[in-house]
Amino acid sequence: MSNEHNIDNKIQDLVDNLPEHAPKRDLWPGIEHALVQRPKRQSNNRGLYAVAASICFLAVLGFLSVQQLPMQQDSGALALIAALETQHKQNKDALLVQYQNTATVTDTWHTQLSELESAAEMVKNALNEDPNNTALLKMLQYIHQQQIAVIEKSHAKANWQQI
Amino acid sequence: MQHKTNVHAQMKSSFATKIGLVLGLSVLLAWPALAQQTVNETKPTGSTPWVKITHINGEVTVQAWDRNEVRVIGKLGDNTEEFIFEANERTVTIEVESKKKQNWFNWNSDYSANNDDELEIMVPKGSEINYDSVNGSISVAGTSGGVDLEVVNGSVKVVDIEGRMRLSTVNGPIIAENVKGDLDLGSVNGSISAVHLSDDDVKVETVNGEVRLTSPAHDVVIETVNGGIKLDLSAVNRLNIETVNSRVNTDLNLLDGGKVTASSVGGGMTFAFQKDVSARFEVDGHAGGSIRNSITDDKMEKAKYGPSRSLNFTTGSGAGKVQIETVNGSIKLETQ
Repeated sequence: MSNEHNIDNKIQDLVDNLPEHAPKRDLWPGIEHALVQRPKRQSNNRGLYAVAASICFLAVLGFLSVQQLPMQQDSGALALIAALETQHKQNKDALLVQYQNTATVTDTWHTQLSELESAAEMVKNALNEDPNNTALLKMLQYIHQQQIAVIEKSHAKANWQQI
Repeated sequence: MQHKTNVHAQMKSSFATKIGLVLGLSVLLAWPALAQQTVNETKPTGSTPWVKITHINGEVTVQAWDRNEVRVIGKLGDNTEEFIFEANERTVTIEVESKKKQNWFNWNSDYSANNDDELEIMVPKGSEINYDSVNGSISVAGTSGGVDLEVVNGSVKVVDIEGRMRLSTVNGPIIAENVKGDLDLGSVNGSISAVHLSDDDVKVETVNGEVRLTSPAHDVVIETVNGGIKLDLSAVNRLNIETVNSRVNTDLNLLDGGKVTASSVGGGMTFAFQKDVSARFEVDGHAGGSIRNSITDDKMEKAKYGPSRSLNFTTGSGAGKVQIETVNGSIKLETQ
């Protein structure tokens, strides 16, 4: 008990003997000024909320963009397929015009062309379901190549006429 | 009266003579057209000449011999305008030019057997044969310098030959028996049958023709639209099959690390591998179809959403790779 009393006394002595640290200048005007500026601090908080909201907005935007990406890729792939199809049709029509007055050496080429057309439709249907499927895209290109080959091979070539 | 009769008789006799002369001249003039022109010529050349043969109709048989000479025996079609046979050390040209009036492409309408050339050509063994014809057919035997044979309606046959081979028809069949060297076969409607004896590359392209190929080739490419394909491949390092609707039956021995790729729109494909095949198998049916597997117990899996289905499995160490794609055809995997 007496020990505790002694310790308290010693602490009191140390406190009493502490050098007095008075502020070099009067701090009250500063404190008062700070108190007056308080509403401004509130506006800073609002800025923080705005930053947070922006971040949230950007995050949501980013999330939505990521979600939209496959759809954009799909539409890009479908556009590519449509472009391929258009180009192939132009090539095919140009060849048919080129050969319109040329004798044919097979009587089956019309049938073969329409069979290939049906196969192309089948592949295109599958591509509509799965536009980014490169295997299907290759098949479509193969069918296009075969259509061109059937037209070219079925018509008498220049070298035969030269004979 | 007697004089008058004599004059009349003389006039009759002179008229008969004139008729006879006209008839005789006509027959003489017509004679070359009635009888087919025959050929029997031999010319010297080198041991490995490039032999170019061109004609429209008929049959040409080319046979190798041990002489450095080219011999052409046979008869030319009635429509022959000119027969050209030239030879030097490096090049031999054999050409039958036909009269221009013939319409080559309506050949069925005025077809006559007498329009056909029938030529037997003996060439040095090392010759390279180049043949172009519309309705002609050619068979080549025993040469080793390669061939490039192209016809529209006729047939092409090569037997016991070596070297780079390119055989092409539109409607006629292609037969290659016991051949060695790079093989490139192409037709539109004609069937293709080949027994290939070397490991050189093989490429087969057809639209509707049936294909039968037996080969130890390491690298094989098959491109078709319709028609059946039967392949017996004993040493495959690379096999690529692209078809639209063909039925494909393939027996193959896949070499270590070999790769098979096959794609079909609607055709059925069966692959029979050697019993100890070591490969990763990836089979995809993109819009349906069926995948049957009797190599392992693995079964086809259907996609949760959509009509696609697939089968993936590995045998042995998975050294090789087998990748098969179809839109809605049926795929069958089995062992021999």
